[in-house]
Amino acid sequence: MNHRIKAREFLKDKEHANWHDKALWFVREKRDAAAKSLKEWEDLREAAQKIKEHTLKHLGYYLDEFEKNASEKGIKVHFAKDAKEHNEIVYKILSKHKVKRVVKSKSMLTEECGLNPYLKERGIEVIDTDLGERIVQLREEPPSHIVLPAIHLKREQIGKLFEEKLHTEKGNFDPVYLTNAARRDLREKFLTSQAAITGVNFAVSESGSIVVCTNEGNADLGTSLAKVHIACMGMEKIVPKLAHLGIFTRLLARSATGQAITTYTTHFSSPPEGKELHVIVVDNGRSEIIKNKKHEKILSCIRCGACMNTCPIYRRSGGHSYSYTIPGPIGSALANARDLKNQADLSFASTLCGSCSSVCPVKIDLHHQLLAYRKEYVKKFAPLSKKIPYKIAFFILKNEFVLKTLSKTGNLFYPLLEKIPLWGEGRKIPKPAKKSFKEIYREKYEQK
Amino acid sequence: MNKSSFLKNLNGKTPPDLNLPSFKRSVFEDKTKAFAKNLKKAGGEAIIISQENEIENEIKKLFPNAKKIASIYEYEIASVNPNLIKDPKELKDIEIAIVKGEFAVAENGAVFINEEKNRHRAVYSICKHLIIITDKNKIVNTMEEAYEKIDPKTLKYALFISGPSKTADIEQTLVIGAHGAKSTTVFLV
Repeated sequence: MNHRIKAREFLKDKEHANWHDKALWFVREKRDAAAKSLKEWEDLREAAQKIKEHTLKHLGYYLDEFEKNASEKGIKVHFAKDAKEHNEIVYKILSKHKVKRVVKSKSMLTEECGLNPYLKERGIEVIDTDLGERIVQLREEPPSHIVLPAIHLKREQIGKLFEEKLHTEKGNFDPVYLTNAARRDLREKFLTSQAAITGVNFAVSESGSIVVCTNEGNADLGTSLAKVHIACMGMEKIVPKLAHLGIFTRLLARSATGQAITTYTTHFSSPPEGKELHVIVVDNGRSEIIKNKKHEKILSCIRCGACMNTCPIYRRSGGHSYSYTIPGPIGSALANARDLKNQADLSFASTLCGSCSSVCPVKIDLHHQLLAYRKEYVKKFAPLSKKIPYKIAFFILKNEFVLKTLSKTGNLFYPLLEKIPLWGEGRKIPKPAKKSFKEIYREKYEQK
Repeated sequence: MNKSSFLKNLNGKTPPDLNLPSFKRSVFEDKTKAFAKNLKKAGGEAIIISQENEIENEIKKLFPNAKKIASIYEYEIASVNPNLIKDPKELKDIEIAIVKGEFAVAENGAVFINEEKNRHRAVYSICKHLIIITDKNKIVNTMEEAYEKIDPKTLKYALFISGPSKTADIEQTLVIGAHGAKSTTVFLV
């Protein structure tokens, strides 16, 4: 149960917490403007949801086809049942080519698998090249957002970090200056790396392609200069047809940042001449989630981050308060699917307002998912200290007479709720009304 | 782990056809105008010219001091043919790259590039300034129309580029020129 403890830490700096909240809301507003600019937006979401549902149902077939078509075009496809196997495959490829330095563009899967520390231990230097990821890598911390990895940091913090690591001018916190400094530093890394690792936004079954979307061009530059390109993908990234990308590329960037499309949308179906392209398809618990029909749809996620930007809890607690690689509503659901017993606090890191579900481009019913996990948690793992109050509440809410009597007498104790440890913290309990709504209604209308 | 044991827990049966509901897609009255507007939003610029041979003069006007200009096509101003270079890392000082697009997309300012004859994929992202030449009569409305034009069987390597490379990773402040080209100009011929 540590989300709220970490959130409390985050909220200590009120000004920073407020700034974080507003920065993400700004992204949410850009998303809204982009969505509203298309009258077919809801149709696109509907179609995207259908494609993902269909694909998950027939995943074995589409993965098989993908492997066949990609192999035919010269891609080497590997299958990894878990993080360990994934990391071993990457290491094997890199050591075969005697790689000492590898550039990596954004991949939440490699975060999930702990690839960076694994390779570091074996003497291979991994350079994250997405600017936000590079910043958090230099700070030796994980990304706090899947699309905006350094959204928890202000320019002064990044400026000071660069002064120390990249020897930039003292006190120059201008984003243009800092970005240029990172560009220069990373250019050199691109030119001296022997391999490039990327994530995968979509893998197309019928064409045997993987698709990588970036704004910075870091995946393009990295893969085109290196001898070996290793693309790491969760097995759920498959779509059946190339034509389906028409739907997803329209949804992805608009949902993520409000852009109509990312700067680069690159399709790889074959390696460049004389080079190697490897794709590693990873299970790591996903086939277990697919078996659970109630929760299967959380694998439809296309990692746009819209649910984070809109979430009132995420915005006010920061990505690092979530004890899972992926934060926010979708991260909480995925964490619960993997380890309900230890991650259940994340299903409570939600107001259940439903904003996440209404912005999700593939229409995952995120708040229903979180509610369902709460129920499962209480049934299976909740301690008596939680179970008993729930039982009492259930009894009271079910019996009208008890509820009425208690709400009369209970008004006296109402202000004491604020004193409940943890739960009451930071809560403002409104003054109890003298008369209930029902009573006022009766007086006003029924007597006449 | 081998493929068959990886797939054994998943449904491998041939699926039924996936029928998606049909709906109306955005259509632009003036696709050229929409493309130019959306490319501008993405940080790039569209220039309409009537003949391909005007391009060299236009480039000279835009970048009067550029010396290292790369293209696999025969332009007088191009000093480097990337196809004659072995290691793409040698392209690191390229100022301008001139490439050709298959078609453009009105809704987002992207151009589809599928140059099978180009040997080095680095050309698109290593140059300081990217020039894309494409046919002004080949602009599609949306990405759905775009993908209808791409053959999954022959697709090897291809990309959509919309504007210059950019990032907003520092406090959501947009900065043009992250790792790739610092400017993208599309000539509509």
